[in-house]
Amino acid sequence: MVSELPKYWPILYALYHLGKIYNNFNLQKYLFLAQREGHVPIKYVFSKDEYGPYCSNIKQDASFLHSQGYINMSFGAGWIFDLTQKGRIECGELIKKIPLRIRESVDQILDNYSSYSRAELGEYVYTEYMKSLEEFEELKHQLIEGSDFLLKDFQDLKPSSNSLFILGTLDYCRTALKKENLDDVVKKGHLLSVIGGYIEKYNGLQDCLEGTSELLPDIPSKWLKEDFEQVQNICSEYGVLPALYDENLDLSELLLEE
Amino acid sequence: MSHSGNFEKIVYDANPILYYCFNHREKLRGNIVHFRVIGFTNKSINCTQHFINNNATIETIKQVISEICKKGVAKIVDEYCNDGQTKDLIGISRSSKIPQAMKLRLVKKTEDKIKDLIKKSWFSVIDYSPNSDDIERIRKFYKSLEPTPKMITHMNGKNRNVPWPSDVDMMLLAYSKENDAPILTNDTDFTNFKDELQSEALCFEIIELN
Repeated sequence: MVSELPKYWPILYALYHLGKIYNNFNLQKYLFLAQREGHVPIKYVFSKDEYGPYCSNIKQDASFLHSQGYINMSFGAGWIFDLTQKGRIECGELIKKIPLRIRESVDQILDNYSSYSRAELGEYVYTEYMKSLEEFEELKHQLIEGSDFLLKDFQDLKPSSNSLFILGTLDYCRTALKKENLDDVVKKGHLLSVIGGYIEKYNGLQDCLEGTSELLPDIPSKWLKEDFEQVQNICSEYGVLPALYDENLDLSELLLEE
Repeated sequence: MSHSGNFEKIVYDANPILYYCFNHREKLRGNIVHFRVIGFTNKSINCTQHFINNNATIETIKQVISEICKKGVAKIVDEYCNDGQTKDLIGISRSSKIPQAMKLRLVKKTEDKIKDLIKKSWFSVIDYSPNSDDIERIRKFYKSLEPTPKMITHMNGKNRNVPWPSDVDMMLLAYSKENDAPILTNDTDFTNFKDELQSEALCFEIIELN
């Protein structure tokens, strides 16, 4: 289980895969892209910074790994990180706990973007992820409309454990979208990307079922449950809406004035 | 419970289990509200405590738990949330709908309580395979009542085309008979025909949760 791994595992793994990483800027962007494009469960929270999405914990954890003898850090034109023998052994142990699907996602991101120069990487991330708040608001309204449409389409499903899961999770997403008021474009983009991805899965399922949505509750929902966990984690992490199953949730959080 | 007898074991139908587990205290606008099926949750809790105090083992069959998890919990939550009194409790107008996310939370909490119940030392879930002849006998019994006014009224009330109950209900009757254990239930498929079922020896006994 990735959730049981130390938060810094992606730093070690990226170095294990690439051997060496030049510049904190690149390390930050590789992990950011693995989280966003590879949907890798990386726990670092990125915020908007002068140089694009940034998480100060990454640099702090790299320093910690250096102090533990797992990585070398040297300063040239920027920070240079590489793995020590001790770090390679540690990473070899960590890898056993990382599901293959996740390792492959990280590998693909690193292989894709490690050939980019710093300028190319920066431009790419800026263009793709540093949209204006207005653009994100537009996207948010589209997602609210999408969830409204799905909730309407599924409203006549007979009550069952799965059908209430489908309706309940879509309603949670819609409530989160209506309540969110993030002004950090990186966080806002992340939230919309995760919720949008979740809603899109139902759109995909609906297309597959070609209008026979009454069959939807028969579809095993284990993988949807994992995705919904991620939606709740993001909403809770960014203070948009507490996790649905949080013991301390006040039910009024789920009520919307419409 | 319209019975005060002491038993070594008692079989629970789906409803007493659902009522027992649908018992939640939630925070709402800073206050605590209590979600439960008024009348039945307390009865189920009291009955259960009575049986525990008398050292009885409470049992059900796997098929009941499976049905509860697939549909039972969702159904009780859905019905509860469509009730006007529940909307009053939450403080929304009766023409409004309770958010689906809230329903899902109640489903999850009820499922968690069922998982806890299953782990109790005094509660057992039995892996039971009924004899097909016993099931057929039960089916024939209900079928024989089809032309009676009582059954016609019953079927209309259940909005069903066949007189016999679900396969799981028939298994529960067979299990009750085979193990000399009464069934605790408020399902009218059992309670409306309690005397007939008992006199035909198709179950050990029916105890009404009412």
